[in-house]
Amino acid sequence: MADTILELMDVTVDFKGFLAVDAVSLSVGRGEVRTIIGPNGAGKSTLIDLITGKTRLKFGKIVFDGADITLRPPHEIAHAYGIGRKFQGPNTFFDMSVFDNLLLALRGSTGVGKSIFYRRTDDARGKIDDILRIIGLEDKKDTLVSALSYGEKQWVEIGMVLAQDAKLVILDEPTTGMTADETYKTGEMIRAMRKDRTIIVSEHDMDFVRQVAETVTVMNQGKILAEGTFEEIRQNPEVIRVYLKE
Amino acid sequence: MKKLSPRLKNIPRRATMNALLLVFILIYPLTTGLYQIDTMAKVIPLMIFALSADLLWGYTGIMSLGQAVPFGIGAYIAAISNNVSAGIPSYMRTYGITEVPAVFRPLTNPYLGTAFAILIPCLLSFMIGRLLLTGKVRGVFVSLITMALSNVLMLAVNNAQRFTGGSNGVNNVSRPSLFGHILSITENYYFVALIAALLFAVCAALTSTKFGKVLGAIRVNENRVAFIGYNVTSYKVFVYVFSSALAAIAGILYARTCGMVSPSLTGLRLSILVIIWIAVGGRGNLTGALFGCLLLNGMERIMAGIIGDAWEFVIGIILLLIVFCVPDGLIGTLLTARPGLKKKEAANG
Ligand SMILES: Nc1ncnc2c1ncn2[C@@H]1O[C@H](COP(=O)(O)OP(=O)(O)O)[C@@H](O)[C@H]1O
Ligand SMILES: [Mg+2]
Repeated sequence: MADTILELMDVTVDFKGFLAVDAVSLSVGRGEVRTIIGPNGAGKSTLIDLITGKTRLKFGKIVFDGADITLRPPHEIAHAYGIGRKFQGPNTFFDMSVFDNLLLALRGSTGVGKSIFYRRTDDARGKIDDILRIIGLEDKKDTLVSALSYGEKQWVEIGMVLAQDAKLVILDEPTTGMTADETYKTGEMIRAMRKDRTIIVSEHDMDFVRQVAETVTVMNQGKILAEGTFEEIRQNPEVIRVYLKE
Repeated sequence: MKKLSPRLKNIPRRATMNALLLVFILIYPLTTGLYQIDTMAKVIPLMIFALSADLLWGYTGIMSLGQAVPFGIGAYIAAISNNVSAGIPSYMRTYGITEVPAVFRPLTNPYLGTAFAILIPCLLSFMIGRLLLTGKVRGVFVSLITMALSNVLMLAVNNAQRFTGGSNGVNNVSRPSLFGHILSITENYYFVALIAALLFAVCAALTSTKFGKVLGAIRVNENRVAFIGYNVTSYKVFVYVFSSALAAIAGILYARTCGMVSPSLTGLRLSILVIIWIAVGGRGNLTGALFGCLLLNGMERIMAGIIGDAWEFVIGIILLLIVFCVPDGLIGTLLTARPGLKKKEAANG
């Protein structure tokens, strides 16, 4: 890979003796859309928790955009390094409007002093409007997130990640609970957001993977089982054995 | 939600309620005698105290059961400063102390005394906050630890008789003086009310900023906030220290208005009462805290004369009724009545 943006070296997560991620090495190229698939419990979410600082690794090293981010706290990984994530299942500020959720996620002004003296600029408004358009919630911007459908809540979170203006966007199963139609729309959102970003998506839905993926990494029992294009993966006998036939 | 039903549109909103409250406080002295004015002047600092706890609990979701710590320390330092600036306090004399103890010497200057009465609680809260609010200790454990602090402080105040007057407290505290003139009861009332109004304005401004939104975000989903780049600990510590400053100012005004301080000002009872005032008025909108404080303190002063200690029992029943019937509190319910937002939806956001 000519230009690597994210490199995991031999990372291991130990949950009291259970290795949820077991000596995984992975590198993701700048501008790539990487899909991580694998059966439930394979360790996809844990791997994402690791990159974003939610879970601490036991061994290994994580390098992002030339900087060692191993064991950095989540807010620093999000703000200083520019990694945004969407959690598995909606994870928003439910008693606030869609607009406010996006405003809070907007890049910059995350310090205490800056947030006290923050004045919303036209530029910020414009950015939020753009995002609302991408996630298709323009006419619901003043609606409380709690009043949205499950799928729409997931989109709000995708919008939040966009607002963060992250260099690397990680989406953990963004289409769970969505209808086929919503899933397709989500795929289009991801294609639209990839322009200047690197994207990692963990996913279950195979049609969706086909729609967005370039390189697919298959995980199983905390390890990487295979890596390749969608077609290669689909024909890999071992992958078929543990996953596709599931 | 832009579309409110016509009926809901008529509900007085926050600004109206605040205005009503302000008018009430301004004209109250014109309607009554000095005793009542003085009584109300003791309640107004408690309203500042309620604001401080609302920022912490109502906005940020940190339920401290030790909010009386900064309040009590502020009150004590102010009272001692006022005493020592006039010589050796009588309670110290009974212990044979013939000159102002070295630790209290800076307090002989009333301005320094006031500064210390605010800064020391802030410093203490900064240290507690740095230890307690890092995300490792959560929810009820924060309450328990702060509760223990409240108890420890009350014990310490009770036992350090030479310095604090023990269970008798510190007496003969004068009302605030401005330009060398000790304020009269009515002047003090308006002085306290003015400071309360200013601090309310500061809180209202602060909570209306993006900072206020971040606090709300921390309350509903603390974990998520870090992943959009906010250092949750620094926000929490900031609010904790800021609310301690408010509590300390409240304590100072309370001490100077009451003319005395006693160990109960530092204890658990007051820490819990302020939570009850807010629960009754409604958390997270400042106005509810003010009304809850005014309502319960007003009732307490009226009822205690009639039913005595049974008031403690009544307050428990009021709290239960509120928690079960209007969980958002009286003012909170009026303010947030919003069609389209159903409880069930709110719960699974
Ligand atoms: N905090 C935790 N403590 C112990 N085990 C955990 C924890 N989080 C996840 N696990 C376990 O780690 C494994 C991987 O989980 P996860 O990363 O969520 O898988 P996936 O996202 O691929 O479905 C599962 O067996 C899960 O039960
Ligand atoms: Mg998962």
